[in-house]
Parts: sequence; C-alpha cells; structure tokens
Amino acid sequence: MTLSRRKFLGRSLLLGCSAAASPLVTPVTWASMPGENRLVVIILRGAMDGLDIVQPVGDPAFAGYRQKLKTGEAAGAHELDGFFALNAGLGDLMPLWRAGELAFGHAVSTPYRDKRSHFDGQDLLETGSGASDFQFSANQNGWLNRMLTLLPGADIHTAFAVGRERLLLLEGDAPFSAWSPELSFNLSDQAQNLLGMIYQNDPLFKNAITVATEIANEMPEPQMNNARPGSAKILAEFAAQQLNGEARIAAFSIGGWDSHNRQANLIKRQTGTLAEAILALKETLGANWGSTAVVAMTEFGRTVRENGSAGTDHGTGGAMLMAGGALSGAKVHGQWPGLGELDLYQNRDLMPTRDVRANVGWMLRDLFGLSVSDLERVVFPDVTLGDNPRIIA
Amino acid sequence: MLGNYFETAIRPHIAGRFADMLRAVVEHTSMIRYLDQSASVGPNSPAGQRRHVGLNENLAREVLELHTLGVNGPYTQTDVRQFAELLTGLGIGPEGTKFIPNRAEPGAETVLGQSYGHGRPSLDAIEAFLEDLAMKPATARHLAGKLVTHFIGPEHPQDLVEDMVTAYLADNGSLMAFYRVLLAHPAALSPQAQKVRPPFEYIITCFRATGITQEILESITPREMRESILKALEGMGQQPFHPPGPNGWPEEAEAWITPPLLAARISWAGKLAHDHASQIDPRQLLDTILGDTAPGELSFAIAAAEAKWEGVALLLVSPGLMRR
Repeated sequence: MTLSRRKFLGRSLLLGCSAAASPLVTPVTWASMPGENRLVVIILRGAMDGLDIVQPVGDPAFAGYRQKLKTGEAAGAHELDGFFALNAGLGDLMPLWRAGELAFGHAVSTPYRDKRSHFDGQDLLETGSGASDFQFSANQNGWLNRMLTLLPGADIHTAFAVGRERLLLLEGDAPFSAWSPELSFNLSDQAQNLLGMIYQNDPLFKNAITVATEIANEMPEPQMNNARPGSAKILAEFAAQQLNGEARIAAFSIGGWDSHNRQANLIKRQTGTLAEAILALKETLGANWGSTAVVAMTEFGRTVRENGSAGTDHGTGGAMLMAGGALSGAKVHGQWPGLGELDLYQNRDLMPTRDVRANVGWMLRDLFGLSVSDLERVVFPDVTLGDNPRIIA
Repeated sequence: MLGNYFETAIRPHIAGRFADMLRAVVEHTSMIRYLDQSASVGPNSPAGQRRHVGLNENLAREVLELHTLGVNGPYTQTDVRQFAELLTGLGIGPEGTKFIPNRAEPGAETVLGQSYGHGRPSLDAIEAFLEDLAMKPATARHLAGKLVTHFIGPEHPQDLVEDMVTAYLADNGSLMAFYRVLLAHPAALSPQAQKVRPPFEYIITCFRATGITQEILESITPREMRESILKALEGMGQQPFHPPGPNGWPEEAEAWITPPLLAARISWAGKLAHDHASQIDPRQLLDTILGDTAPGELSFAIAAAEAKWEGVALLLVSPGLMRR
C-alpha cells in the first residue's frame, strides 16, 4: 500500500464517501489487517511530576530536594527495584508490576526546552515535533495519525479518540473515530441526508457529521452507572470496549497534573484517577489485555526542588508509564542522570537522557511491525530511535 | 467569584488602558488564588524564614506567557523567577487583596533588564513593573494578534497586527486604539467566517433567531436553566467559568467541532426548534438571518424538511449560523 492511496482514503472520507459504501475501502483491498495488538495512549495534561510518581529514593540527593513533599517509605511509596519507589497513590497497580505488566521510562522528555509552557508543551507532545521551540501552525497533525497512515488495513474504525475534546494527537489525513461514552445521538435517515447536504461544502462540519453518524449508529445506548460522566474510568471502559471490537488504537487524556501548590493532595487524587483508568482498561479488555500496551505521557516534568508552597514548578525531564500484557516485563527503563546540582538541567530540572518519542517509537515498531526508517521519517521526524529498550515483549 | 472578576477586573477596562486591566486582573483575589500567588512567599522574607516557605512561580509565568509578552516573547526563566520574587507580598487578607510586606522578598529584582522594588517592599513596585510590561512592543503584538485572531480569524494580514501595535503604543496603551485600527481594516469588513461561534455565543444566537427573549429566559427556574442550558453548554464543551486551562477558551474552529461536540449542538438545537419554533417559517428566517449569503444547498435542504421546526433546526445547525 502506498502513502498516496492512504491519503486518498483520508480525503475521500472528508468528501463524504462513507467507508462502507466505497468499493476502494473494503478490507479485501489490502493483504493484511492491523493485527491483534492494541495500543492505548493517555495524555497526562498539566505536567505530571515524574519524580513524585517514580521516586528515585536510591539517589542520595533526592530526599534533600523534597522536605515538605514526603517521599519514599515516609510517604508509603512502594519499592520497585531497589532504586525507584512507586507513589503510594499507584499502589493498586503493584499487582501489575509483580506480574510484569507495568513499566516506566524515566528521565524522558520531548525536545521542548526552556519556555516551559503547558500549551506549547502539549502541542509538541501530540504532534511529535522535533522542535525545541514550538511554533504551532494550523496544518500540523498528530503523530498517532501519521502512524495510522502507515498501518496496513487501517480504516476509520482502527483508531478511536475517546472524550468530547479535540485530540490533536489523532488529527490528520488518516480517518479516525471520535466519540464520548455518555452521548446518545439518533438521527433519522432523512435528517442524516439533510445534514449531509448542508455540510457538503464545509470540510470541518462534513467530517464531524460523517464520523458522528457513522459511530453513533453503532454505539449501544449509554449505560447508566455511578461513575461521573467523563471520568477517566468511564473513558477507559469505553476505550476498552472499542478495542474489544474493531479498534486497535485508542487515546484519551487525563488533565489536572499541574501541582504548583500542596502537591501531595493533588497527586493523591490524580494517581487514584490514573490507577483506576488503567485497572478499568485491564478489566474491560479481559483476555485482550494480553495483547495490549498502554502508554501514559505528559508534556514535561517538574522542578527537582520543591517550591515554596509544597509543590513543584514547571521543569523538563520526567517520567512515562507503560502497562499491559504486551510488555516485556516490569522495569524502569532509562539512563539515570543523577540529581547532583551539576547533573540537573539548568540547575533546576531533571536532565532528560532519552527522547520520549524514542521509547514510543520502539513500542510502535514492536506492536505493529512498523519499520524504524518509517518511524524516523513519518511518525517522529528528526528523532533517532537508538537502541531498542525492549519495552514490548 | 468569577462573575465578580469579569465585572470588576475585565469589563470596566475594555475601553480603557490595558495597563489598568492588567493591574486589576493580577490583583484580583480570583487570580491570586487560581494561580497560587497566595501561596508564594519570599524565601528571605520574615514569613519565609520563619515558616520555611518560598516561591511559587505560577502567576509570574502565566502573566508573561499568557497575558502580556506571549510564549515567544522576549523573556527567560530568570525573568520568571525575578518576577515571582517581585510579586511576593501580593496576597489575600480578610477583606480581599492585600499587600503583606512580611512575605515580600527583600531587595530589588531585575525583570526584563530593569530593576524594580528598591526601598521598602510595596505594591507600587509590582504596579510599576506591570505598567512597563503593558507598554512593551511584544505585549502589544501579542494582544493585537489575539484580538485579530478572535475577531477575524487565524488567517489575517500581518500588516494589520503591526498597524495595531503602532497605534496602541502611540496612544499610551489604549485598547480603543487597537479597536479603531481593527475595525477600519478591510479584513474586518469582509470577513471570511473562519471561526466557529463558541457554545455560549452559539446558544445566544439560537435564542435570538427563534425569538427566545430575555423575559422568557428570566422566567425559567434554576432547575430548567441547569437542565436546558448549563448541561447543554457542558455537552458542547464550554462549561461556564471552567475553561480547560489558564489560557482560556480555544479560538480554533477545530476545537469546537469534534464529532461529539457537533452532535451535542445538533441535539440541543433540534430540541430547541422542536419545542419553540413550530410556528416559525424557516424560509423567512433563513432570509432574515443569512439573506444573500444563504448557500443554495441550505435553502434546498430547508425546503425539503418535513416540518417547519425541522427547517428551523437545519438553519440553526448550519455552518452559516455556527460560523462567524
């Protein structure tokens, strides 16, 4: 399959040629399908403090930077590998660690440096750009969408953006689905036809209504339950349901990590949410958890020193979380830069020793069989993948 | 509390000097709490020494990044720290915003190459910096860009932004100078409708189109308000007073028209038309609202609708009405 055909598929959907109706888009056109492996990407918005989540308690300098912010045993952290300890709030994930289904990357970052803006940082994380000083332009697209363009047999059902908000990560030429679990949207055929007519000359509306009607028709009625609508647990369950069907890729975000003030409270709440989401994925995926990898990543890390209000300010290097039965084992991946004053980035932040995109790139290669050269050229331009950390079994 | 912020810090200054708005915004209790200024203490101040507390750089960073110079503006991490030190002392007392000298970092700070805060710590030093900050060309450029993006769209002539910057700086930082140049420019008079009305503006537009008056809105119960308006706004992605971050609501059309968000608009507008527009002739309404600009496919679709209210619903969810 060539890229140009892929692009044609993207455009044709935009022009309203529904995937089911087009003879060009039937599965027999391609020799292979996306396979059985599954990927869930969770964007952690607000800059998660990687040093609080995966605490380097074995680094002699660490405790000195964090006095009001309790760490290690005093904070109920769970021993991981003798050097790192896991924040108490993620304690419910320890069974996954023991089962070899939980891993981390530490001292990772995007190429973004110095201005430490959440919004540019997130745009850069989602576009997978190689720029250190981000300038957003309207024609940028998400790396997960570029990955889709390389995936044999991918169609509109292959990737799912879960939640109501725009997810730049999945935007681009390749068609994808987007829906939110609490929505119910039933239109008569007549209404669908008329809407198709009035949106025919406005690609933004045209694409949205095409996806909305196609998806909504396939969705079961939203179920009533006790969880808060839009909560990460609900999003995760919905994502897993899609992955149990035709979807192989799902993405959603969990916001609220910006811990400038009284970080302990905030991290307790946030880690609870994250753990709940991951466990909901595992439970709903059932046997499919074995072929699933989850990756949760954030725009940047936070200052090594706690600030004046028992929080941390915007930093650089941080941590990423991986989970799922497709992992090679429980491990904190990465090269530890140390926390001595001279080891820090600008005497302030954790020094990044690995591009977060390199870890994700290898995961994409090992999950979906993409080539390193395609990953370095199409998905993450300007990245060098380097050695395979073997995050995926 | 956010209502008060809009009424006292923003609205009174819309036609005034930006420096005054900036000062009111930075010194409002909502902002001081929201961006953690109330938790920032000079590490060498009496309070900092006694309680072993120190800086929180949140407000300082966002003022430079979001409210004035812009993220690509001429400031560094050192400026953020120095400004955070300068801001110490600004806090909240029992009666609202209060300068608490006990928390202020002693000594002068150098921000953007200029020294502030000689002598006793005071609010005056903070205000002197905010005044200078408001008059920086980078601030003017950032603000002009935001206004043009908001009122015209992401694609706009760069000379318009530069003309606005020049006028603003020549007129002592008056916001009216921006508006005068913006409104006189040809790009403002022949808009390309690049934008999508955000949900709040959208539902007001729909109310006006269907004759839902202020009196009717005032007569509905809080419960009805919650069910029919607040929940709808949330579904369309704009829970009132809860923007996704300190950068406020998105400007891009793409952010408001995802499949779920468009579905929420269609569901709401359909119900509005069904419940309140059965007596309105959609063809007349189309003519009143869009006139000559009504696209042929919309006229055709409205004529093909099976009931009047369906025709009105199509008009309400059409790009012609959602875009501006």
